[in-house]
This record gives sequence, structure tokens and C-alpha cells, in this order.
Amino acid sequence: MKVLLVDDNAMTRDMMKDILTEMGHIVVGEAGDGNEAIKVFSETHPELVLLDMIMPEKTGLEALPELKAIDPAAKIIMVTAVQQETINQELMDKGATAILHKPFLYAELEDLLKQI
Amino acid sequence: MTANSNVTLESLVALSLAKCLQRISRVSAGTWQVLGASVSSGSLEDALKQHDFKNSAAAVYFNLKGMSPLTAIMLFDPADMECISKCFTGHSFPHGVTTTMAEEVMLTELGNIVMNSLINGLLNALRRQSIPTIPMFAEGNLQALTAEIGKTVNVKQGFRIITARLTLQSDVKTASAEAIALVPEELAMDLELLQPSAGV
Repeated sequence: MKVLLVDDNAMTRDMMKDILTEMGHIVVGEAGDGNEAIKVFSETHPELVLLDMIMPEKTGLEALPELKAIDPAAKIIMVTAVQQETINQELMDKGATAILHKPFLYAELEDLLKQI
Repeated sequence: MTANSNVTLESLVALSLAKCLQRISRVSAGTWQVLGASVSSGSLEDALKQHDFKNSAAAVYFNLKGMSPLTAIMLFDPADMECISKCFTGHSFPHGVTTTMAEEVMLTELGNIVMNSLINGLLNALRRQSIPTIPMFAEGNLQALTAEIGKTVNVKQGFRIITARLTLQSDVKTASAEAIALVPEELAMDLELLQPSAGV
């Protein structure tokens, strides 16, 4: 799958990029906040976005509906340590494909990518 | 504040963190456990004094704004860096004189996970939601950390201080850390009113 990685931590993006590449996916873009995510998403048309929730400027929660408005078919997995029940519901209501809660095993990410 | 109300808060935090640490133990190279939880009252500085400042401490912290204002802080001893990194990432980061960017990123990521678990437990029990700020990092002695964290927290305000002591072990090395929630009194009273069916 063509993947866009969105996380404000460059080291996390590098690590995730290595893992996704090893799994056979192609990382077509990276972004460090929600605004950049929308820009890169429009330019690269990824099939999948791994979207961090807590970021500067625009959070993943805010960026999610904007990304879905650009391409309703895009799969968006929220990656976050936030596990508040009402926020989980809000993310799903706004179109998240799944929520991957930190910490996770790479095998769990791989399984999730096979399911979606 | 009664002994019973403290037990409610302690149980809530210990349960939430135990689940989180069990999860971290499963996905990382170390064994992580909650040693215990306690509740007291005091200021930001009183909360930071829960840490044994043998050396400078490393602090990761974030705030929640709005309806459920809270501050979460995690305190580490940088001298434990080798054990912490081994337990969390599987690789030892031999600690030098100063904390490196990679160590700061690792502690921030770890702190973010643990502090969110602490906060998630409290907010889920109240059926409320609040997005945390980006986790921040600071290092120094008690006065330096009070000043730095005090830029986002009223240093004169009294809080209910919920402290959980954590231990982590890898091979023969052991380290400890504290996860702290500064809970405004009004919110603490809401939490005390929870019945066991609400998840306590």
C-alpha cells in the first residue's frame, strides 16, 4: 500500500518507515503535523495514512475529517496513547478505519494492515 | 478528603497503570510493575518532592485543559538510563554526562504512554474527554523542575496529588520512576463520588 506517515516525532517516523518498507509497503510521504498532513496527502494520494493524534498546530483528531473529505476512500489508522472512550468513539465517527493504541507490537500493526 | 476517598483514587490509578505496564511488559524487553499508589495534597513542588533527587531528575509532563484540567508528570533518574532504555527499547543507551536527544525522545515517548494511561483511567471513570498537550521534557533539580513545569501549572495552587511508583527490571538491572497526576480538588471530589460500577 502507498502510505503517508504523520507524526511530530521524526525518529518515530523513521522507525515506522523502516518497518513499513520491510513489510512491503511504500511510504509516499511524511508529515509532522495536521496541516502538513493535509498538504502532503493532497499531493501524494496515499491509500493509507498512519496518523498520530497529539501534534502541534493541528491535531490528528482535527485533521482526520479534512483528510476524509479530500478522499473518503482513504484508510486512516490513528496511532495514539490516548485511550479515552469518548475520543475513541469520536475518531470512529469521524471516519477512522482503526485505532492502534501505543505501545504495540509490529506484528499487531502487520495484522491490522492485512485486515483493512 | 477521607481515607476511603483516597482508596478510590489509588485503586483507580493502580488498576489503570497496571494494565498499561502489563502491556508494556508484553511488547518490550523489560518487566514493568506498579509498586504502589498514594494520594496526598499539596502544590506542584510537593508533588515533585515525591521523587528522590539523588541526582537531577528527568521529567516528562503534559496538561489537560478545559472541563477536566489535569497535569500529568513522569519522573525518572537519568542515572537509570541504561536500564530504562534496555527495558523499553531492548537496547541499552549508556548514559553520559548529559541526556542525549535520543534519550529525551525515548523518555518522552515512554512518559507519554504511561501518563496517558494514568489520565485515561481517571477520565474514563468520569466519562469525560480531554486532549492532552504535546508532552514536554525538562531536566534538573527540584527548583529547576518546579520553575520549568511551573510555566504551565500554577505553582501556588493546591492539588490532590496522585502518585504511582513504578519499577522496571531487565536482566539484573532495576530502576524506578514516578507517575504523578495533579488533580484539582473539584475534579478529585467528582472522582471520589464514583461507585465501583463506574470502573473503580
